[in-house]
Amino acid sequence: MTTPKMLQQERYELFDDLFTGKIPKRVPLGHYVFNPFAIQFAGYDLFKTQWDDQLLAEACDIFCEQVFSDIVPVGSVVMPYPYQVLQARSYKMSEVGFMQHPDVAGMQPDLYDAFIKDPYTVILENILPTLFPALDADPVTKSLNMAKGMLAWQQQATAVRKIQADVTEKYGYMKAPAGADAGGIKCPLDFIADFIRGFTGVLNDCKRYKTQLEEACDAVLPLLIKRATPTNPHYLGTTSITTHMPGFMNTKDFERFYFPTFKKMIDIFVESGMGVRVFCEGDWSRYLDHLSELPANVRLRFEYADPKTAKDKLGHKQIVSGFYPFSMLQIATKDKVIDKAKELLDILAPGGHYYFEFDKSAITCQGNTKGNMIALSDYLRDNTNY
Amino acid sequence: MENKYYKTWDDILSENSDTPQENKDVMQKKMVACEDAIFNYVINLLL
Repeated sequence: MTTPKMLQQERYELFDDLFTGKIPKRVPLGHYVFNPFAIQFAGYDLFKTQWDDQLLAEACDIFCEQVFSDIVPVGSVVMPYPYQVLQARSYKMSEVGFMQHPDVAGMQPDLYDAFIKDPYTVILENILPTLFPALDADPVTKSLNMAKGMLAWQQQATAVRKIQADVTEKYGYMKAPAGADAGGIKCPLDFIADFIRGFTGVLNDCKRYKTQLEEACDAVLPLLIKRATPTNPHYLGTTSITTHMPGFMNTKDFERFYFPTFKKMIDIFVESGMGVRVFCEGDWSRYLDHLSELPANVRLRFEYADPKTAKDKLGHKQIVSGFYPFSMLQIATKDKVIDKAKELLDILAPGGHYYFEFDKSAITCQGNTKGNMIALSDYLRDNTNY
Repeated sequence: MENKYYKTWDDILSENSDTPQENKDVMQKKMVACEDAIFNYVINLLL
């Protein structure tokens, strides 16, 4: 009988081979779903379960029991609790129960010079009170709200870590060395775009505040490296960089404003010994040559790009994943879903440097998604030996 | 990181000059970790 410990050891070896450039025993399977997806998959109430740690743990366990994955597939979430406490403008719960990210700017261009000189001070004094109205108050109220927000964040993070730890032991998921993971981070341009200047604002700044934008990216880089460097850097750990802006930028602006600090950040991470995963969100077809300059064994997950071109250009140095259209699970038959997996495996699996992920992390579980996800995962588990 | 809102160990020591030396010798890990926890929380709010 295979025990969770035996599975964990097998999975450790799969990823150890993959992340060191060797061909693993089979194609590793890296499902990663947002908590709202696991909640819907389990048939639980979306609002109630996001505020109840016990129900959330049950929903995640139901997902893990039914869907095969080699890594812990649950626990990724934008947590409503701290954002609600801080009256956030950056993330808001929609009427149907999903956390939404509107286009907001926490800073206007007139603060660029101060931001470049001292970004952490401008974040605390100007940007947080703009994005979180609960922090734009008299000193006592502001201090109490900051404490409430941090308490909410820590409570929620502790609950999610416990859920992940419990299912990791129960189902024998891959376990990286302690202190090797640092969660998610953004590269400098995306960090500035997401909430500091907003998507619209940063695209305007590429034209009107060129020098300031470049210098702002340089200024925040040390902060982001400090935040994202784990206590025990190890190549089996994961620090995920989610990207947002490249698909919306022209190549010239990408090369000037995005790529230099993006690459510098990844170079520093890899040099420290840590594992780096980049989610190349949107269409990165124009940037495959740029990505080929990144260090060996950086993990690159793609949403849209031609898989064959990506494999040819990157799949012998870096590690590629993604491409599989998650939306197909909702409407296609099981046969079609598995045929699509075969098509992508034929292109991406030869020679290793590949593991299975969808093109995006699952959020909504509708139509045929549940049955197809189970069938596809079982197929991948049983039919991808090298 | 040099910033008025982020205390290094030297900053913490200078603000705790009236603390007994024996206490100073053992408080470093938690006092510095507290600064890092707040820093990480602040950055997390913008991710």
